[in-house]
Amino acid sequence: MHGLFQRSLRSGCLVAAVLAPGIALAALGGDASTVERDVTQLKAQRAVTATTAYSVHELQMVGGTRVREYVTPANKVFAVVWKGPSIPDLRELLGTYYPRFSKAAQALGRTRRPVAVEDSDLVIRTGGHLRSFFGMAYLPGQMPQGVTLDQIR
Amino acid sequence: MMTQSRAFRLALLTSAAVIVASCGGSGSNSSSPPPPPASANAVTMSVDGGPLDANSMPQGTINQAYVTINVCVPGTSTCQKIDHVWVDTGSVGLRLFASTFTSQLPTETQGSNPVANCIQFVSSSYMWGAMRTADVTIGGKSASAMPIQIVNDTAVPSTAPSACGGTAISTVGGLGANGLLGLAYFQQDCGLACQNAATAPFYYTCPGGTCSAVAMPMTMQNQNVAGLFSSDNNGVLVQMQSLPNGTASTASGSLIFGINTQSNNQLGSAGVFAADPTSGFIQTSTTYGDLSEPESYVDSGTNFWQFNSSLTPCSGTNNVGFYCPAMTTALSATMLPYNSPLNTTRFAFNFSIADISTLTGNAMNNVGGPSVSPCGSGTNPPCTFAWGLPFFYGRNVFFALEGTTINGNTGPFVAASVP
Repeated sequence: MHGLFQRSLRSGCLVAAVLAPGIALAALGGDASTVERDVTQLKAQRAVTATTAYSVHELQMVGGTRVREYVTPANKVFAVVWKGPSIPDLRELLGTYYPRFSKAAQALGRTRRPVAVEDSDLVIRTGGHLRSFFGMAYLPGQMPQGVTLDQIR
Repeated sequence: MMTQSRAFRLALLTSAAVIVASCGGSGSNSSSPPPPPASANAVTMSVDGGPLDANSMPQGTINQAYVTINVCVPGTSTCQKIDHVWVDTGSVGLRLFASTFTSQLPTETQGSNPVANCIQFVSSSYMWGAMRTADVTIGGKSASAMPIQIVNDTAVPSTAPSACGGTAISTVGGLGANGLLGLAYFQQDCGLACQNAATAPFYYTCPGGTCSAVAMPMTMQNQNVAGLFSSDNNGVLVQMQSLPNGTASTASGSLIFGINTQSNNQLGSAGVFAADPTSGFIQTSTTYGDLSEPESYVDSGTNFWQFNSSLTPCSGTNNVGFYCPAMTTALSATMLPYNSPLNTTRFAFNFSIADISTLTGNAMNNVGGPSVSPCGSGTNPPCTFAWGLPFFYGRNVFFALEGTTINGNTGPFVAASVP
């Protein structure tokens, strides 16, 4: 987790940002472990809502793109969704799953079409066009019991 | 990143040259090419397989429409003609590859640092390069000192910030063109958000080789050239010939500037579909697949009909992501404005989908493939129907810029002649 966070600072990227004092978002499948950060320094507005099954960490990026990370009570990120004028940095958001996304993207060649991954342990769906992109990624095997896909939005 | 297109091309070259009739489904109303442009506001467009590669062979692009443009150092007669610039109604801005000529164009700077730009595409690919200015002439229309992007420009670091995306488009082969001419209905690629704040991943400066996002005045951002001309500046008309046989080795047409400004760009009885001023989306409705596709768009830069249906996907490694139905299948899709049903405009367009593995040529009105699936209003992501270049054949397709009013219709909107 610390490695991820440091990487995001080095690249000047705001995607994997602190959403609440003492809580940093991890990439998909990672831990949402505790890091002391100041939210205002990261220029991101944050909101955290929690149910008994999971918590939602919402990050409003400069420019309007909204990222939501869904975290289990055991502090694991099991889903990420995004929507807005730009595609967020998916290397950060997808973490160790990014190479599988990247492989699917490269297989598209120069054909303009959405990237998708539909595996038993990883689902990624994307779409959109200039000024309006959207997407989701989740880990079917790590969804908390009772949580359905239409809660991930 | 060439793997898929090579495989795709190979399949076309080695297949048994069976040309499937299109069932007349494209709604075409003329079988002859439109006359070559003679007007100052028009330029010839062609779909011809793309620029030549290092072996003097065409890139083998499918359904990519090109124009030739003239680019000059601002205020001088130092100019270069650039052929095979891809007409893209899905993006905004003129993007070219670096050359000795482009190094003479003035850079845009902030605090003496050259400004770099990133544009993202849905396929997780991106173009990264320096911002420069040029006098740009297309047909008889000119824009002075227009901001443009130069890819592979040594004025900025060659490596893009991680936030740009996954796959860099940095070669003619990778783009399938010598440049990209973005004519979507926005005037800038980013707009007000990038003027108001440093917004990743759009504009950057890179002092000492480290790039950071910077705020960028709207006038310095990548521009839709169609809005910069002194007249005929409220949008574009893309007018491609019809393809009565469904496919052709080449196809031609006209890129016409302005809407309702000359005798050659009249809306007439075209259906007008208002686009969401923020997202640019229109809506689509179908009786198959996703049924309702609220985040749809008309995009000459998408080279197939992209939608979900029960049509048979191609098997094997060739033509992954396309449909290979056993029989050419006639379909219909209804285009709706973004504010439907309040706005009651709607029109059902007919088309057909053939088995792509049996087709030859560089122009095809009958190729399709799936969109994101599953999708829906209750879940992410929302459903999309992308009306790619196949939709444009045999039809007038207009893109009215944001902020314009034409015949009482407020831009942004897309309009299409109805059969």
